[in-house]
Amino acid sequence: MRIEFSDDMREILEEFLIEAEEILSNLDQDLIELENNPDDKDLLNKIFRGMHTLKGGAGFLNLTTVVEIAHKIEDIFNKLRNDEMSLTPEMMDVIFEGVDKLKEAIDMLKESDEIPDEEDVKDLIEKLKAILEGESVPETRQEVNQEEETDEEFEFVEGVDEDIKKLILQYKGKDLGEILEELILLPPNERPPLDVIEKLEKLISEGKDVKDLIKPKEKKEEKEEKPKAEPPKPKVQEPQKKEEKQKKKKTEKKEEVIRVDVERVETLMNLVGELVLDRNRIVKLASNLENSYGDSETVEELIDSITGMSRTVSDLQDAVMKLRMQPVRKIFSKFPRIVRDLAKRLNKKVNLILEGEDTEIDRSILDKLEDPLIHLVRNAIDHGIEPPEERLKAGKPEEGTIKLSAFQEGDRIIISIEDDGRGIDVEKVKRKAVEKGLITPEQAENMQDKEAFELLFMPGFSTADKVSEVSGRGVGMDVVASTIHNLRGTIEVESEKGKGSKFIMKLPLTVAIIRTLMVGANNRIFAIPLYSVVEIVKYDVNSVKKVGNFKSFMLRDEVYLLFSLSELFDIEDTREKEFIVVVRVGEKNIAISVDELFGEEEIVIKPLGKLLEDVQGIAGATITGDGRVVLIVDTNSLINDKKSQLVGVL
Amino acid sequence: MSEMEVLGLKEIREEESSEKRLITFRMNDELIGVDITNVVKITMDMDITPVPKTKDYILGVMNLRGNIIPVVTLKKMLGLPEGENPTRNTIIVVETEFGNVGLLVDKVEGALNVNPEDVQPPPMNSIGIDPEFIEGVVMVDKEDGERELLTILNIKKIFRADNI
Repeated sequence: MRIEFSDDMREILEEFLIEAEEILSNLDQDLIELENNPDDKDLLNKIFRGMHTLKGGAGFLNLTTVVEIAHKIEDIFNKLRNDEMSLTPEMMDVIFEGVDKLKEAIDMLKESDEIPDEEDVKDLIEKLKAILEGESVPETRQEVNQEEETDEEFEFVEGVDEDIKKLILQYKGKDLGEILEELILLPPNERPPLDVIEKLEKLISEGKDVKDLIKPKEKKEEKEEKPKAEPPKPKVQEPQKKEEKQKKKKTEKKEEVIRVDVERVETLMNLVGELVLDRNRIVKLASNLENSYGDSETVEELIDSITGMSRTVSDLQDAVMKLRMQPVRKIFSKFPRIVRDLAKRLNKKVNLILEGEDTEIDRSILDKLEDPLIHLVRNAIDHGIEPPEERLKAGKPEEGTIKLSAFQEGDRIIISIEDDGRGIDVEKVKRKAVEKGLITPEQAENMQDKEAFELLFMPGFSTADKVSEVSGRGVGMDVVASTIHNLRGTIEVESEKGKGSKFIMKLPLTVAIIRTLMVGANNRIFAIPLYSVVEIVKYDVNSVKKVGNFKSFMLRDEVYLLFSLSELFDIEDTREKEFIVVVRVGEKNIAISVDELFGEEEIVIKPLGKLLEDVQGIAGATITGDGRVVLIVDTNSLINDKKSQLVGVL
Repeated sequence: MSEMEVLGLKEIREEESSEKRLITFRMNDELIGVDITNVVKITMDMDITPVPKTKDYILGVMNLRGNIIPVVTLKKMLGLPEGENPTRNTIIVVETEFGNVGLLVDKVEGALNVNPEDVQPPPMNSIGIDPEFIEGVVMVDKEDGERELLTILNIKKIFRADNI
């Protein structure tokens, strides 16, 4: 169903979409929590309020089907919070279905100004209705409840308009603003006359609310006579106070936060990038100047002020970088729901633990992380966690545990997914790899466990005997690995058969600026990202040995495969090697010999342009202080060519 | 479009558009031209960083006002003989589907106006360039009074995804 929006409405729509998305994303988590604590009143109230807000906004925009669904769910939660019915797993499924439909509707609105048709939601509405009618407590008790309620625990202060009194009684527990909203949402023929609404608006504009118009009833004896007179306080006031508090919090928050277009932040980021490059250039020029005219006082002053400016630029860079940071909660919060649904479908019991949700990471990285994480979590449930019977037999608790955690370590963010399932069967992995022709049987023989796990990430590898509906979605582990690598991150596996597996991803905090090691090969300069550098040592001819088709380098007790950077890049390779840079590629350390070493530099990554998008071994380029272009080495894809030959060599 | 109807302006526009403005340059002594609207900048003696593991016509990348752009050897791209390498590198930066791209040429001659009516369709294999990449040819006056053939390239066609 298409909805037309005027320009004014569009603005409101935008606001609504943002709010709705926020409500719905919180909802999943709240609902899961509710499943564990079905009697949590705070939670019930929170969900109820969320639905209410959603309904209100949707009603204003005339999003009929959205209103209908939200209204029904709101009603259900109203009954739940008033103990008029209790939550069952079957109800939960229907509610989830409803929430999914709402999400779908929001996505449709965002993309094409459409909402689901009446037909689409009919079944759902019927199911929700059935819950409302079927599951509600027997009528008799409801009557008692009603009696109790009509026997007001409060009375009106003097001078309250009769119409308003009626409304307050009718919409118990709501403040005036909410009552007004309710009235607006009513179909025109059921709406009270306009003057009533005007009276209501006047009260609101005077800052009055229900609590100003009522006072607790004083006659207490009457209550004590009643057997069911538990609530000592007026029923109406309690939830209201809470709501007020909530509102206050909200408005406070609103004042502290401004929303900024992502594009503006990107522009700012680019400008800061330019500034960093200029700074590097100026610093370089200044040091040249110092060498030539070191004794001049002016030069000294210039150097001083440049040092100051340099520091400010660094701070500015940090500050702008922070603008782009978002907590991983943004994607972590989706997992309780994913895990719940999947575990249910696969008849497994899984407990999800989330840790470090407040850890912040660049939003462009965060956005790209969602799919790999979902894939890994699905894998963990599908292949990792055993069915309950199998777990019991193995002496494990019936319920499996998956831990999703994030934390910062230096300038890297570490995100890991850990399960206590059956672990990875190394032999099976090797067999499969041999079968698929990824490695030779000899290679498999010599391979260490860590290396074998690496095979999981090779294109064309999948351990699942049958591709299940769950894990086999066309995205393989190789896609997960390449996504992480494209983000300049690394992924590792730890696993013990029978005990569980852990996937560890290390990602950069930011995308645009990285620290690199500048090296020389064949009179050209290359930048190697520092995060992949393990160690730098002097080249020593005596430590180099030939192993079959490859060279190896001995360092202390370790033996590394050795390549020269020139050879990896297929460029002329005649100069003497001076240094060896040990880099980490996947699970392996590899030695790369270079002609020169120029030291460390912080650089701004720039793309090579569309024409050179897919060049192997190059992650991008940067412009150095003297205006020259330096290529940034992508060690992973550089070694990739040789990777299949390398497996099991050492 | 409406401003073109304004008195007098229309005629001026027409006169402008009747002339085609080209940037002309030499490759192996041949006079070549590209439409000036494609040209972003002409630079001399830029530092070019070679990029390994790329096609042979990719010379490398260079820094254009803080942006990194690829530079191609136009001769190699068009399959022309390499000829003698000029001492100075002259690069014409043009706008393409792939963003800005630098074209390495032998020598820039300058800007030139031609009348579109004088432009002839490309003769088959005129100077060894695939006619697909040629917009047309035109005879122009040389300084010494002689006339010579100017080949106008179609930049948009040269840099199309299916040709790269």
